Amino acid sequence: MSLKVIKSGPLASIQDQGRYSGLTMGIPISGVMDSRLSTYANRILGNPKQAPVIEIMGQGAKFQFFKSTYIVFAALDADILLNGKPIQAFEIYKVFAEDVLHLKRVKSGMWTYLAVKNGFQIEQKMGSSSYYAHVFDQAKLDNNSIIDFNTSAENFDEISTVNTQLNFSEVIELKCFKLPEFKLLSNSVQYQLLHAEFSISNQIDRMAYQISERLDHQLEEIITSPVLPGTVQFTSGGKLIILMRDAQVTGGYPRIFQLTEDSICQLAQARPRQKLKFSLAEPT
Amino acid sequence: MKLKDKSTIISNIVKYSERSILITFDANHQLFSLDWLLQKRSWLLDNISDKLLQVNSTYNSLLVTYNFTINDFYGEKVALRQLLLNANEPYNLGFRSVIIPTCYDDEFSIDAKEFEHKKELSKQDLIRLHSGQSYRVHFIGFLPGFPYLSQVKKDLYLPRKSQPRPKISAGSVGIAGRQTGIYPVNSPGGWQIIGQTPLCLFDAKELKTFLKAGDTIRFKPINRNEYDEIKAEIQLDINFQNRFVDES
Repeated sequence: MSLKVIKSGPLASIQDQGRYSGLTMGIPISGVMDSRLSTYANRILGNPKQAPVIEIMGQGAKFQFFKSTYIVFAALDADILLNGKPIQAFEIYKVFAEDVLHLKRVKSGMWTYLAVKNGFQIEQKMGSSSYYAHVFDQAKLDNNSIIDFNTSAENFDEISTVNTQLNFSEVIELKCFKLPEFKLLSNSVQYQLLHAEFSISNQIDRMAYQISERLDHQLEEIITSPVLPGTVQFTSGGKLIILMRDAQVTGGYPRIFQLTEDSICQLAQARPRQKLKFSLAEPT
Repeated sequence: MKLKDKSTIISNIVKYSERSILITFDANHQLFSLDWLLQKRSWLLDNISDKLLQVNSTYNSLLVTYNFTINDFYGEKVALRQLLLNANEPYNLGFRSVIIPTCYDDEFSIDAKEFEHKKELSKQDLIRLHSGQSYRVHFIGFLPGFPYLSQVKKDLYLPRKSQPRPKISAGSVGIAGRQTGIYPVNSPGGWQIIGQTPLCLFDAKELKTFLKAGDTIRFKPINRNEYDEIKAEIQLDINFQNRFVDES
């Protein structure tokens, strides 16, 4: 017994970089919503990038350790308490048996990460430890769930500094590539997509983030085709849906943009009503 | 008839994401077929496996995902073009024939009335038309194990329900537009449900799909007793359902 979930909050799960082997079986890639944060946390601990971490949505989660190790908590801006005392994000702390970590408040963003030295020890399904309901339900953390990790005796006297550059502006600019159905849109719709300001709706989860505003267009549905996390779909009702990590692997709505990996992470942290704009990642 | 230029079978090759390239094919080209597409998919996986994370196919496209960020898109594009257009030994992909026992009883065919009202099809005709032809599995998508099948007969075309159901149970056989499919797991969905198979299309324990791209399938009407018997056998041992697969 290494770590016990006292309170899971709205959603907590084990995630890593996801799985690609299931794509041809209709299994989503999954993996961390904001790979910047988990990668920073793992890097600070000297872990490989793909070391499994606990991904937490929202606030309130509480964990208790049952043996000592080193931890890094990754968050944009949060009140994190270790045994009731505030600790900093992106810094290494040594924890001991009985210590309690509490994510008291998340002031910015949606997703935060708890990483331990060497990563959490959990089996892999199809090359990944990521939670996805139909494939690896056990990687979802509920109250009283228990996860293992290896005790770490390592010393962190010389800590490698990791530059955690995370800016969060009032209007986030999502960098994207044009996808095949973009060019079928009228010039005026194309112009609006690249110049108008949009906002995130209340409908956000690991599968997709929906945009509040609607835009009329004349595109018909397409023959079912591949999609990826970060694909922006344009429904026949004029709704914009941005697919996220647990998105289905194929879709029938026109695909207009693909977000860059960095922009997927930025979007992941956006809360409802957050303003955003689309802009092209490359000159055309 | 003069054969079209072979290279026109590729409609376009575009950068999809930092790590993926999307290749779309002309499905009307004489050389294009499901078998051709699946052969090319295997050919790519075998020849550049060291560079690839995955190649997934749909009706007329391949999405090639690399294990690195693509810096030289044009270089990769030329390489893909050459690999796709060069002659290669036909693979024996071992396509299988699969029988899908399906119970069309009223209890399961909850949207049969829609076909009666909108298509003037009796229940008998619905069953006859749906089970009277074979279908190819083009790819697996939407949900783990969900087969996308070739078209149903024109009399069976019926759009999705305007209001999707919150829960469709695993094994439900449905029609959406020209497509027919089988829900492998419980899921919300908008397809018109006409029957149910006792087979397990996604084995969540072994993480295996019952159907694979390339399979030829046929729905075989069964009664409620047969449905219960097959279901019970599969619950005892999932390998029971392998008897519905013909590997030859």
